[in-house]
Amino acid sequence: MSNGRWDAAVTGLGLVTPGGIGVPASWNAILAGASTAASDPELAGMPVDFTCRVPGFDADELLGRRVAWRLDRYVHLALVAAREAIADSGLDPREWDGSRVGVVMGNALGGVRTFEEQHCALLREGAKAVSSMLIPMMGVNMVAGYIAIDCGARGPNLVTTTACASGTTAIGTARELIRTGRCDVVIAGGAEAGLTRPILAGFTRMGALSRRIREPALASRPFDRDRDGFVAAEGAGVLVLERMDHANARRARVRARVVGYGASADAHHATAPDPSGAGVEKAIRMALHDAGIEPREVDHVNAHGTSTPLNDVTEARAVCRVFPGRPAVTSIKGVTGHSLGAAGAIEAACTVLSIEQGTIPPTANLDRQDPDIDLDVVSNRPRAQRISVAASNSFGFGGQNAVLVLAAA
Amino acid sequence: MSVLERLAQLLVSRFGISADELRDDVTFAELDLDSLSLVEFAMVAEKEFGVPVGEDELSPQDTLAAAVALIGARVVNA
Repeated sequence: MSNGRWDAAVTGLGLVTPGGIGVPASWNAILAGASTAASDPELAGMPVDFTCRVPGFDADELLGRRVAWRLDRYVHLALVAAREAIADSGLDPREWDGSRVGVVMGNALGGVRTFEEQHCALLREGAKAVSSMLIPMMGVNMVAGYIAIDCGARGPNLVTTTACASGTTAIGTARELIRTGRCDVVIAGGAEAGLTRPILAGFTRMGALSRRIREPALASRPFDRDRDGFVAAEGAGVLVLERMDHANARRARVRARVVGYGASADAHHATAPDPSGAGVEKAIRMALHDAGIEPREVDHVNAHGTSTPLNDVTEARAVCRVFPGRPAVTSIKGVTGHSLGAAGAIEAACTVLSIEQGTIPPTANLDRQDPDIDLDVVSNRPRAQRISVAASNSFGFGGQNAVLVLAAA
Repeated sequence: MSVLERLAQLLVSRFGISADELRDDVTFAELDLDSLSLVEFAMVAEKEFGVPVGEDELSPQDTLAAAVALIGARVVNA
């Protein structure tokens, strides 16, 4: 494993999750291991009426109404997380060379809430009632644009969209910008805020969501025998990636390193994973190869673990094949639910925290592990364990697989 | 309530402008309201006052006083 000047150091973290606003609140909730899923008033009367929402998120208060009124909620979440991550890194946007700072964010759905509201206005009152802000608010690319506007990042700027792998793809792509020398710093992560009635209806019609409407807090149960689908969530996670020599020159606190990235496609089915797990396995092996790491060196896997019947068993098969040494596995989605394009970034941030603190959060609601899942899954309470190297998995509809390998500073 | 007071209230509640910025001679540009935002402002003002406000009738260089004059004249005549 290299540890050179071109490595991508993680020097800042920001989280806005159903566990809370900010890294401390989010991480404490994730470590506590209690699900955040709850009945959702906005979904009243729908066949699945519960989600994991960010509690008490008031964009007017956090960003100021002057900024907030022209942004979709998914950008609100992202901006709060990005500002936290940049502040955490100790970098000062007033002083940095903006041309050397990139932004790569993952997102799946764009500003669907805005789109739906404006579509309703159109049907109700005609084209003149549609906001001039519709297009800049709903664009899937806009989250990276607005982060750049907010902090003066004038380098490469893009959004990666690989469904539920988007956040992981973003961080992997950001690392390439660091490694190829195009950027000194990249603000990388993911954001999603698509908890609307049509989106939830669509996921429900696919059969992707848990139907446990009487017990929402027990609905997201990755790797459990009685899992029946995922719980939709919203959130944002942002990492500041920085070229190692750049971080060292300013004596920054390096929290961890991103040392490998792998990506593959199942080329199998629109929404179902290839049951053999071949695509998943390939992405994991590619990430390990990229990092120059042997499977036995990996201490921990932060799994995709969505709590759908198919994902968890498929992922488990692939993880077993790659890692015969049975590293400690967890899925934080038991607590946070599944925030689609934000999930991979939130989980990468949690993997950094696990490495840094030697603590693996428990998988919530794992009462009886599926007998077909032969993994060492952390459950009930956090596990204290020294972690040198960890992998973070994300897999998206479309068969899009992305895996990061992170290592201790 | 005067046209000025109603417009001021709109700018505060809908667009997050702080009340102490709302001088007669302040321009929309100074309030961070660009041409795109002014299309939204015209739509909201039209609803508030019930008179037509064309989306090209206000520019970022216009002052609050100019907007009051434009809308005020129509409210009187309406």
